[in-house]
Amino acid sequence: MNDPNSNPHEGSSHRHAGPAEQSSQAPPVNPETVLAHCAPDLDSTLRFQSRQLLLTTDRLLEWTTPFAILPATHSSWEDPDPRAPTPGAPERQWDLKDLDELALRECGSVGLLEIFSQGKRTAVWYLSADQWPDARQLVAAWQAWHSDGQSDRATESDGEELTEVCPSCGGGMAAGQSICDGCAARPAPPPSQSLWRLMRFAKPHARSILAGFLLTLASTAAAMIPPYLTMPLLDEVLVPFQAGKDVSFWRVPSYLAGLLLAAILAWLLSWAKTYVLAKVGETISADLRNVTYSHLQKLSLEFFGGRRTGDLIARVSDDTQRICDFLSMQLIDFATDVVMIGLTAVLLFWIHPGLALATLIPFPLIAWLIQRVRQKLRHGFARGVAAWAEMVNVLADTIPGIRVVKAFAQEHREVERFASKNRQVLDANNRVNRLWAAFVPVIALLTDIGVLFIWGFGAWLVAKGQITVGVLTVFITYIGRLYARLDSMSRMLAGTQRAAASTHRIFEILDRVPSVPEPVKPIRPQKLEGSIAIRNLHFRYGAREVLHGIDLKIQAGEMIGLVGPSGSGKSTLVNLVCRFYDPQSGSIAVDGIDIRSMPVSHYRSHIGIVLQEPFLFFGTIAENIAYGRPEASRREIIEAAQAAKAHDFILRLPDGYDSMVGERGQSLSGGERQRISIARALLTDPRILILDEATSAVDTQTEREIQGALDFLAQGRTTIAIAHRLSTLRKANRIIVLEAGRITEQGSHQELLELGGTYTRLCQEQHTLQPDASDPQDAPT
Amino acid sequence: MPKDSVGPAKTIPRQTAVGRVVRTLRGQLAWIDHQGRSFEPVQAIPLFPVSQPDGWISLVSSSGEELALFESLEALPPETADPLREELALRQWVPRIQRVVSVSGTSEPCEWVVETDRGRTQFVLTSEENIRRLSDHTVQIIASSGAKFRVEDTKQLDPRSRRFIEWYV
Repeated sequence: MNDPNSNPHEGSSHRHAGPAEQSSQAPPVNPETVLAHCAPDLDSTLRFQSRQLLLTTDRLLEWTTPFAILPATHSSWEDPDPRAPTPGAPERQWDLKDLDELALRECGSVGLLEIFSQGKRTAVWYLSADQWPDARQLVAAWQAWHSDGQSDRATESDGEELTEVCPSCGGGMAAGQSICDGCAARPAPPPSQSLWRLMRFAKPHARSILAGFLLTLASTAAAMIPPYLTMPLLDEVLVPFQAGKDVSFWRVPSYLAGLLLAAILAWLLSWAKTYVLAKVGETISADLRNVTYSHLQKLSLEFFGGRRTGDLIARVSDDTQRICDFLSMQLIDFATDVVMIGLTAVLLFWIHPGLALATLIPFPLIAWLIQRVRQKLRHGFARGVAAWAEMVNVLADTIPGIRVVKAFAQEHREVERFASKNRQVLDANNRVNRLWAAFVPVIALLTDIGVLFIWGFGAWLVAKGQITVGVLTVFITYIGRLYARLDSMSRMLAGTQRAAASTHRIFEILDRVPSVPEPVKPIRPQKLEGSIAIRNLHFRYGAREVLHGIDLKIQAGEMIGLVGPSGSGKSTLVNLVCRFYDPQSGSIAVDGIDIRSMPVSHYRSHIGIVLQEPFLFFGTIAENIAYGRPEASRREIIEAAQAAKAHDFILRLPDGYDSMVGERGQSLSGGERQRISIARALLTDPRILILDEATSAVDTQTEREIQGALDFLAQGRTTIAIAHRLSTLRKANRIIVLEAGRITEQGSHQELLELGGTYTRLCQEQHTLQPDASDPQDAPT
Repeated sequence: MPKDSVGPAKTIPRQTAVGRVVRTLRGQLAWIDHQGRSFEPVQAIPLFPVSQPDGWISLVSSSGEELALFESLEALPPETADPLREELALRQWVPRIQRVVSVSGTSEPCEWVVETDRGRTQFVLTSEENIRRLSDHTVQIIASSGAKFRVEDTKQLDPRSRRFIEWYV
């Protein structure tokens, strides 16, 4: 390191090439093992270009071409030769002993992985956020190596890494991972043939579908009878009669009766068919809605944070309805058309193969045309549906926020915003229609030409005496129907593509793997005491790291006050404790059990939460209080309400506990709503209680009322209370000050005041702001 | 002021309040607690007027303080239960609609003429939100005056009346 002769850049890469080669032939006592790897994916001009970095116990190696690294499972960690999977010799390499520092610097959306030796930057790699997790592990591995100082400690730390236990399945995993590779969420399958994927939902209704298909076959066949009967009517009765022959006219009524019977049969069968298949279509789309909605409920808050309400509502309601329309109407028509065309073709060939062949000539041309237009149409419809969802988003934004809109007198702008989204819908649909408008007449033209062709060819055959007039008439009739079918098939193309676009949007949700996965081998503790141990917790929203290594132990029954400026990560921390998200690294254990080892709903049933903005569902007050425990008796509900000091105002409402609240219900004040939500938390008797600014939304008078209820609620429970108003934390055993994702101060109110740090400053600010607010000490009297 | 003071000390056992209900000379209810203190007038308020009208009756003093809470009237001695029942019968007076005679129009506000178990009457419905389903076949209507009407079982109505009701729910 102090050697002035060594050129840090040039020297190191060549000097160590030799020893590295040797070590592969004669492994040293401590074999070189891979510690971490990372694939920087940007070049110095920030264009995507993958490289591969490998950190071993001796060196940092770089390849310009990436290659697959075996997942960090036991086998690869014990792999005696780390370079076995490499495609060739590394491009550059550095001896770890020469490096002073290896660090990741996050500059907006680009990360810089830098190495330094002798105070100078030796090399830099650029990474998109995608690669940051790997890079962080690489840095962490280097830091671990560096603090150990000795490469022979590597084997020891290997041992440690193996003892790390995956919280989901209980198996071993590498250090630094929050969950083992086996349990990690798998990437969603590619959006493949969306419509075919509906088969999964069709399977349970296979019987009805089969019945529907048979009915389709029968009804189509019945519809084919009448033209066939016209053939003998012409050839055996009308034509001979016109030619002056003596024909028994009694055959006409019998043919007419046959025609009528066939028509009635076709009508009955097609009625049954439509009913059966429409029912199946409705059922399938209802199943689809249920599955989509229940899957939505499984997804973590992370998913909802990134989506807009209107879009999700549109997917569950509008898209499934489009699929239903497709399944219950267009698909039936399509099946009928296919059967009809098939049967007609068979019949025509049976009557006269030559003429039949001529009839079918335009078909390949039409098929080719359809194929060409299909892709464009699907794309167009997908755009149309997306534009529609955008428009619904505007509604979903502004209708709940109507007070803000009106208060700022922005009605006009909102109307504009809606109109512009609506215009996008119009534009998207117009584009499709333009294509569509051209396509349909082309098909019609082709079929018209086809009919002309048959007339010509048929007339020639009649003239040559090869077919009768009856045969030609039958052909023309069938051809007319055939081409009509073809036309309707081409129209149904639009429906198909629209349904395909909708199906794709549904499967986008269904393919989403919940980012808060259920454990593979769940642990279900009967009773939780409620002690919480948070260990080295890191959390990022996208690329922004919000929590930088939180360590915190909370005793069972202890009340913790969490204070700090907004954006310091308080809410994130409690969201992680509730397991609304999973941390990228670190762990949270309750009673020594990693919360990821418990089934999500089982764990959450031990948690009560009171939010700043209490959300009441549409329903009665009793239903809202019993939301977490619908089976609770009336006595329990009343007791919870009394304890939450909600009983006295509830009994004054005209319908008491049966009063409707929530959307368009009884209007309650903020404090009253909050007390109902406290009663709700109380009724579940949670071991862990989260108060997320529970009293911030109300005035000081109401706060004092709520505070009594909260104190009762917090008794004997592990409580984490976030508060801006420090007076609400007077009962806290310990106060934690969180700043920029780190714990900066902790201790009792008195200790923190004596410390004279951030907490003291916050206290003083609040006293100057609220001279009438009672001092935290003397508030309870 | 002492009642709403902060602190977790306030507990629940008002259900077990001992005392009796009497009807006063002025025709109102009074509550005499176990210490012989008399509170009058008191109101008997059902806490679940819709889902359980005959249970969970709260006695509230004129100042709004809850004096007693009865889970069920059955357990009470008849001299206390009877005045309570009479009082509740008044409070819970809800005519049951048996037939809808006419509705003035298809849009609100509209005037309804109905035949109830308490006779023929009319009311004005101001908004469709004032008709709501209490359970599968029970419907409650709140008239513009605040009066309540109920349909116990829509299946029992004649088809024409049912159409009027089901237009809304």
